[in-house]
Amino acid sequence: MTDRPDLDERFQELVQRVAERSTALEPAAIRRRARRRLAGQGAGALLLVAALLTVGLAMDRRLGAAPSTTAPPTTLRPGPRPVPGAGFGGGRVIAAGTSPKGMHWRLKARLQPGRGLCYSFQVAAPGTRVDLGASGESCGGSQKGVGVSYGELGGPGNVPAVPEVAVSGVVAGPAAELRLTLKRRPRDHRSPVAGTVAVRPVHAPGFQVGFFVAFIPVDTWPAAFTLYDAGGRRICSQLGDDFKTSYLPGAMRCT
Amino acid sequence: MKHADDFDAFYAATYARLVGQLYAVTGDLADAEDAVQEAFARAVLHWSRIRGYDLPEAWVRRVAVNLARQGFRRVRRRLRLLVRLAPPPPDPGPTVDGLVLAAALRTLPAAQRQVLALHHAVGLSVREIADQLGVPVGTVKARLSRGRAALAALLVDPQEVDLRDR
Repeated sequence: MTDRPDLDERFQELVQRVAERSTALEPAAIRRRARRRLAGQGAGALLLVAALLTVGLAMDRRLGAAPSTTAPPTTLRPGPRPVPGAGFGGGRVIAAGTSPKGMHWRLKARLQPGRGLCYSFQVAAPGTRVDLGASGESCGGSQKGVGVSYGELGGPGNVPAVPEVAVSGVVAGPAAELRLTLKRRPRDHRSPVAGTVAVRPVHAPGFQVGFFVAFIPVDTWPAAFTLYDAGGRRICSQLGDDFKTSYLPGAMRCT
Repeated sequence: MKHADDFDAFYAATYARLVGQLYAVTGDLADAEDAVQEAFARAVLHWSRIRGYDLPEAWVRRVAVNLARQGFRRVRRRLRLLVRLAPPPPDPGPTVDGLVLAAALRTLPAAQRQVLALHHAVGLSVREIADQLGVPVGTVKARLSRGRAALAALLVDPQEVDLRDR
């Protein structure tokens, strides 16, 4: 207790409220993270340095039946569909593929009571079975709005010697399409629409998941993510300045 | 195996509280969870040593606070293995007090927010905060004073406002 019990009380209440709403990972997930941390030390350097020249993008794995009128050509070649159930307790494989440089990946998802939409993303180096590769899981909680998150992987300490960045997203809510726009160089405004993602329901009415996996050569600079509804109207986007780094920001959310 | 059980119990007992405290420090639930999870990941690597400390929770909190201060989230993105797919978690509610305080904290400079949170949410003394943040005691006192003054202006009781308006 400090000399300001009123503030102590309000802070304690806030801490309590947040604690009640936080979702703890399983201890095993913390251990996996620790192991990855050991394995990944030093991985940041390459990804940091690897930004700015250009080449292009390889991408787009279309999902489900939702319409998409602007899908560009893709060099992302779908791989054989893995057996559902492996590696992610009962989640079904939403999509799988092989990146242009041979990284195998798959995404699985399921709705879990109380935890919302849960998904796992697995990736493996060329020549390695995807179920033996790196993986991670997350749950999004109950979402009413529209949100998408993305991140990266690739490089030494991660999946070695494959300089690619993976972009993945989940859309909760009524979004129909996600477009990634890339600048070919920083501050080059001739930004082509580089890819789209469609959305399809997962198990529950009104709860949709869309996703998107792009393997981008790390010398490409992502510029913007935009969500569109089924009518092609823009819902929200994250643009420009947020992407002036060699890595991707974490999330976009719009309601 | 016993060490593993120890860690699991420790993690289960302290995770939520630490996230709550880190939320007060960072003003962002996702950042708080990231920092706490990473701190636990570091703790598990050294658990045979940390479990012998008087307060292992203090070690984890200290690491988490330092990670949060260092913009850990950005660094982690560069390093991390997996793609975090979840939309950002919702901010806490639903009490009016909690929302008001959370909103008020987000408007404060990070340095003031950290000191206020460590003092009032964690219960550290001024000297302990100075030690943790690596700043002089006087700096902590100044930040605490300014932060409280700013909070006082932001945490006006709506009923008081109503009465004053009448």
